[in-house]
Order: sequence, then structure tokens, then C-alpha cells
Amino acid sequence: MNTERGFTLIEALVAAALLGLGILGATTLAMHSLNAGVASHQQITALALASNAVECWRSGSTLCPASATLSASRESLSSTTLNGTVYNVRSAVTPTAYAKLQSIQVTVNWRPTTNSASGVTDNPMAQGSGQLVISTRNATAPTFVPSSSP
Amino acid sequence: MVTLLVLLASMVGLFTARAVWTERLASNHSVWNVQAQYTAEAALETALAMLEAPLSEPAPTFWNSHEASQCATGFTGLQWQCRGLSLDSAWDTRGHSVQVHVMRDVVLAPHVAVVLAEARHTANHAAAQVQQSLYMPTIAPIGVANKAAALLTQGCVSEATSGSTRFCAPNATQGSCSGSGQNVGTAIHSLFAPDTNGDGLISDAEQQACLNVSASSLQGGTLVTPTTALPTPNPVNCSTAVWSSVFGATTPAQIQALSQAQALKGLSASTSPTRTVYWIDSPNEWTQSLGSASAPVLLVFSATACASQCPRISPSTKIVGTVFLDTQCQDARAALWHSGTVTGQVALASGLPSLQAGSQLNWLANHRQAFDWPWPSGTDAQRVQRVRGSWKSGS
Repeated sequence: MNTERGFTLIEALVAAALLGLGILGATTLAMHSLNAGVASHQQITALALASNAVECWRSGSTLCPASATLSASRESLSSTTLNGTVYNVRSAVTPTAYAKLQSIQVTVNWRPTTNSASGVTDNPMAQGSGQLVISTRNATAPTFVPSSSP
Repeated sequence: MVTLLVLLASMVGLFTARAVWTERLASNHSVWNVQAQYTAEAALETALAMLEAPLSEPAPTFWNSHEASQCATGFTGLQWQCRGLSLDSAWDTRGHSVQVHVMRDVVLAPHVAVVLAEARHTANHAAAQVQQSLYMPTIAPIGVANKAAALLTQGCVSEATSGSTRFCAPNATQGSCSGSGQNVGTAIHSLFAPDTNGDGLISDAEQQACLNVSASSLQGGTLVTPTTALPTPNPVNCSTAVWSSVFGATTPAQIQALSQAQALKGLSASTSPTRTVYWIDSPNEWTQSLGSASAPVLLVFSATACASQCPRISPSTKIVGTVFLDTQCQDARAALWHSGTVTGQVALASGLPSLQAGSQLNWLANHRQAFDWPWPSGTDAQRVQRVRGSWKSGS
């Protein structure tokens, strides 16, 4: 008489299903984490680009995409690709109710780069798209350069 | 074994997810804080533009009031005058609440305003603060004192009783008026003396006749008048030469506004710091002793106070600092005046006939300290300018 006991087929199938579910859950979690990490990185990169643009406008540097004037709204658009993501930086400088005050708004949009032929994302690590808007103001009152401050 | 592996993988996944979630939160906070910072900076820049715009709120009336609630931390002394600034409603602050405080020290630096802007986004838990100091055209530079005399007039001077007054003009290097040979500086400087003989020049005799003060009153002090004839001061269009000699480009309205600001803050001779500027419209006799050698004061008896005759200073009263009488080029308004004891300088826009017995006028080199605020050379005192190195930020 055979008295040895073992796994039945059904038990084995249930165990495999549980294992599969666990692996699927872990994989899904890992993918979500990866996407969230990439999204954070994209957002920080966009923030840096926006800050650069604001400071460039404020400095009045000729290296900025276009020189700002107080008489009319001016816009500039530049594009940068970093780690498989395209960042479009749109800067707008507009006059305000005060003659010597200008409003600066920088909008950064980003999306993954794609293969022009297939339309497929080049870099599988670069997922999703997003937008960041930063706005501030700048007055043209000069900084006095004294020999000593009171 | 397999279950253990699954559990292990799940744990790793969970910890990874938590780490990434934390990073995501940090990333979002970075964005919110940067926007809060830019909003605070925008508020500061807007305030600056508003303060500079001549027709907007800050114009002359801006410093006419004080709002204690607008004094930021660290700006709570009696000398700090504070105002809130309402920014233009057209501005989209992107959900931030914005506050701008403007503060100035009405004793030590009334021409320097500290602007502090705060932006706060409650839902995002983001806040930022920026601060900048500005030179404000609330007063003007007074220039170099080139009329160093105990008494500065625009006309002739005489004593009610010969030898009964004292004009002390010590050489700055010799200090005190007491002691023989100390009184060697200019006792009286007049910007006008009549050319009685019509030769176009002011002779010594004409000078002596105009500044008719006995030698015992001068105690060795010297007299100064123009050497050439000048037009007689005209009450209808009174020259501001004496005012300009003392106050430079600062206007009477600016001095009056500063006096009002110090009064508004409750400053007086007994507070700390003490009040330094007094604009007096009352015709009543002045009886309060004020000032010290280290903290001189300014008393301006206005044209209103001097409408009929300038109020005299009581004989027992001692003033250390500058006393100005706005007599509008009319000698009669200063006639029979008594100075009490003034250590510093007395200046008036006319002559001073019949100065009363017991009046004592002593020269003090730093008599303008109460209104001589530092303006770095080259500053344009007519407009708002940032003070270099004064920008600060914090969250």
C-alpha cells in the first residue's frame, strides 16, 4: 500500500498561480516606481530649465533667446533634449500697469523623443509628458553701487 | 521557500515604491517652493515699481501713517515706521497669498526703506520671503557745511542791550568756549549787508554797522558778510539761500514730513531713541530743553509760527543742535527774539534786530547730525534705488 503523500496537481497549480500573481504585482509596482522616478527627474529638469530662462531674462543678457522690451509682449521658444526627453521652453515677457515693471512667464512642456519613422519612443526609460509653469516679475530700478552702505 | 522569495520581492518592491514616492514628494515641493520664491520676488519687484512710480500710492502721503501690524519681526522699536503695500489686483499670484511690508527708521535713516515680501501657498505648504533695502527720495543730501558760524542770517544783527549777549565760536580744534583766546571762529555770518554808500562793495565800516554786536558779546569771534553788494532780500520772493546753506537740497516739506513721522511714532525727548526733528507751527514761547552734544536736535520755527513774530526760546531753555527761523526775509518777525542757550547754530532768513539780553549762541561742529543722513557719493536722491548688498531671501 502506498502511504506516501505529495502535492496534487491542483495544489501545484494554485501555488504557481500565487507565485505568478506575486511576481506580477512586484513587477507592476516596480514599473510604477520607475515611471514615478522618471517623472520626478523630468520635473526637476524642467524646473532647472525654467529657472535658467527666468534668470536669463532678468539679467538682460544678449544670450537669451530674444531681448525683452517693455513696450510689447515678447515670446521666445527653445527646445532641449535630455535623456530621451524633449523639453520645450516658452518664455513670455509682458508689460504691466507700471512702466518699469515687466511680467515674466516661463512654460516648460516635455515629452519622450520618438523615432520619426515608426513613431515609437526612442528611450523606453523616458515615459510620459508634462508641463511646468513659473511666473515672476522684474523691475528696472537700478542697483546703486555705493562706496559704503548706510 | 517560494513564499519566502515572493515575500522578499514584495518587501523590496514596497520599499522601492516608498523611496520613489518620497522622491516624488520632494520634487513637487521643490517646484512649489521655487514658485513661492519667484512669487515673493515678484511681489518685491512690484513694490519697488510702485514705490518709484510718482503718481501711485507711495507719493508724498505714503509715510503719513503707521501700521503697527505691518512691522515684521525685528522691526519693532519705536523708531520703525511700517506700512503695508497693496499690490495691483491684476496680478495672478498662482494661488499664493502675498504680503509686502515697507519699513524705515525715522531717526537713523528715514531715506532708506526696507521692503519685505512674503508669499505663502497653504495647500502646498510652500512659503518664501525676500527683503531689499531702497534709497527713497524722502529727504535729500545736505551737502558740506560751508557757513560755519554760531549765527547765520540774511540781514543785519543788533543787540537790545549792548554786550548782553554771547556768541561763542570756538575753533574746532580748540573745543570749549570758556577761557581766553578760545573764541577764534566765525561768530556771525550774514549772507546780506546793505551797501549804504552805493559803491558796490561792502566795506569794514558797512559790515560793522550791519552786524552791530559789541566786542564783549563776540569775545573774539569774527564777523563775515559778502564783500560785494547784493540785492536787498525781498519778502515777496524771499531767497532760500540760508535754508540751502543749512539743509542743502532737502525741502521744508520733507523736514515737516519727517517731524510728523517722528511725532506719529510717539518719539520724544524722553523716549529711546529720542526725537531729533521738530517742526513747530505754534507761536507760543518754546520752553523745552532738547538735545545733547552727542545727539543734537533740529528745531524749525515755520512761517506759520513766525507769522507775526517768531516765538522766542525762554531764557532758561537749552537747545543743542540747529534752530531755524522761517522769517520770510522780514526782519520784524525776528525782532526782540530771545535764543535761550543754543549750542549748534541759529539760522534765519532775515536779519536779527534787537536780540534780547541773555541770549547765548554757541557754535557746535556736528549741529547738523540730526538731519545729516548718509548718502553715498553719486546717489541720485530724486529716485528710488536699490541698496547694493541688501537683498536677502529665506523660506
